[in-house]
Amino acid sequence: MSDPDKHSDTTGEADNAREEVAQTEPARAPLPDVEGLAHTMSPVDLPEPDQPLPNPLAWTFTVIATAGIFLALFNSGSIRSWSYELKPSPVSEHVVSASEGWFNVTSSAGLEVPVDAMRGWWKGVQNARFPGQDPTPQTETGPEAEAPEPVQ
Amino acid sequence: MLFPTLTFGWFFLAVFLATWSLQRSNEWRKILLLAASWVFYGAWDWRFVALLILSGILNWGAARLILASGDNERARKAWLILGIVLNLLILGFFKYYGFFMEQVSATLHAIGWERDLYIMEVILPVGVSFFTFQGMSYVIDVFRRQTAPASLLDMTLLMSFFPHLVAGPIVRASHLIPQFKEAPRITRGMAAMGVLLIVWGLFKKSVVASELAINFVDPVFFDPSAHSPTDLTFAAYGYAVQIYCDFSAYSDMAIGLAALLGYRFPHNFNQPYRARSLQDFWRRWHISLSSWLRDYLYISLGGSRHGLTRLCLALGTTMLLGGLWHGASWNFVIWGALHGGVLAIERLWREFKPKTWPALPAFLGIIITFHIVLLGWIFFRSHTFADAMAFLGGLGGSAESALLTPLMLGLIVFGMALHALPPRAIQNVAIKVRAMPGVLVGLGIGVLILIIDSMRPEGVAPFIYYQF
Repeated sequence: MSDPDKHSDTTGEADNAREEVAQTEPARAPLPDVEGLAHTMSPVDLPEPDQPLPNPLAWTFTVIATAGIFLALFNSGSIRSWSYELKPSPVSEHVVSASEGWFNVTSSAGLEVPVDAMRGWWKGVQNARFPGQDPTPQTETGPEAEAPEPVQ
Repeated sequence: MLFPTLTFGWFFLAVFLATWSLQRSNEWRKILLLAASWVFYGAWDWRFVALLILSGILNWGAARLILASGDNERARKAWLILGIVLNLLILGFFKYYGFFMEQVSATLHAIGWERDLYIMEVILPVGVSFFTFQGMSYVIDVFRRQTAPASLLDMTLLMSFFPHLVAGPIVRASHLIPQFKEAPRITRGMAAMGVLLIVWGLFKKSVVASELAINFVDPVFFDPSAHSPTDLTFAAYGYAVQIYCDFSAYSDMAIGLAALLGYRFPHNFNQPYRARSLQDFWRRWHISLSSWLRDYLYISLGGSRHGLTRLCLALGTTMLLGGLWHGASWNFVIWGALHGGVLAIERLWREFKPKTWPALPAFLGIIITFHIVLLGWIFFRSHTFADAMAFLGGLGGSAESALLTPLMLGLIVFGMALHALPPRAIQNVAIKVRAMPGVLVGLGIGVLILIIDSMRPEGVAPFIYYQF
């Protein structure tokens, strides 16, 4: 830490800078949030709850673990696709084999059905056209669109 | 390693478990975070990890030398200038060397010196603009005695911390170093906001921004002359939505990831397209950069202390340099000049508007401001000035659209409608979520990620701001 006296010696300079900011930006943006949440230091600053909420870390672990297990069960296809993108190596061979095995287990139990149904519905939304519109427009995409990194 | 990938998911899970298991030693926790951040950065190119470390040491060293100079203002200023110059040299070399040499070569050709110059191919390190600006702000803040000096570990972690390393927010030392000094704590509110911001960012990036980019905006901007005025018009609106959803998604995810590790990052976006003036826009868009430019550039250029002419010059110069910060291209210069020019006009209008004249209605201010921003985005997105002019030349009139599908129109409307939501919508959801059982919240998050994953296109394009 620096000597606090040195800080006090130059608080005037800091104050000048702050004053300058205030002069430059004389009026704050008319934010519609009158209760002050948008003025907090961070978006993750929430008002304190009326009752203290216990075990925050355990709660966070539970949320992440539950979401992870849910996705491992219902979206094993994505894990398999991800494993195919790994650089070939003895380790990645094991990963591919394990992810394929897991995919076979979950799909044989019908757990891939919801995500497949969702993908089918979304495909329909993507393919929808306005009346009279060419059903398959040509899209010459250019370098940006060709660039996506093929990872899952 | 991109946020919306499973590779990053595994990485973050490992970091999350490891850091919270080191709660007893904050120093070891920070060392682990630093090592993880270097692994994250090294996933692009290991060579540039050395640059990141060097940059951290350089800024830490410059700040130490400023402190060691005590009350010798001359020496303090000399170390400050040296620190800034070294930072600018790093930034300038990687970002502007190629552009500069091309301009020199073109000039020499124009005056008849026909020899080809050897122009070295320089790879742009991801996020160099962000971590350089972050380092510079630390040195300047120490000089101004606005922040306490940081240890080498804290300083290198400030610059390398992986959630904000490659595309911001530009987190000031005064905001993050005090957090590093204490063992982080997490609340259920922070965690709820963290997971919600991550899922929300995932949706904006993977579904809205990617879908618009791949199937509409990129094809139109690639060859504007091949598309109808309707497609061009909607592609401009589409890009406005795409860049907002892309960039704000990165910020949301960065803020959310940091929150899950126990750190609080500042706001970076606040519904920018509902701004009533360009000044208001810059208080809502990339807030960490605009406040950086204001505090370290605009004020240093004189700000409002030396009259209206100097103020307008400072505004113009700040925005021009803000444009060049994005890269060495005339289109970025035009983008910056447009913003600087309109900011100056707004300022003059405020000064000289007759008091009897009524104020502009809010909705009109929003529409005008948005369309000025939209004009800027056309230059920002186009590869060359000629492309931008071809795009603008093709606007107007009406013709059938080949690419504008109901989905594209829906996404554009959705992206704009986000700006009409209550500003604290996510916080209000988080307040409810934090009181729910963890298993229920986890299931809800799992369902949402499953839906997003089934909607997103194959593969993940890098975030737009990775190139800056």
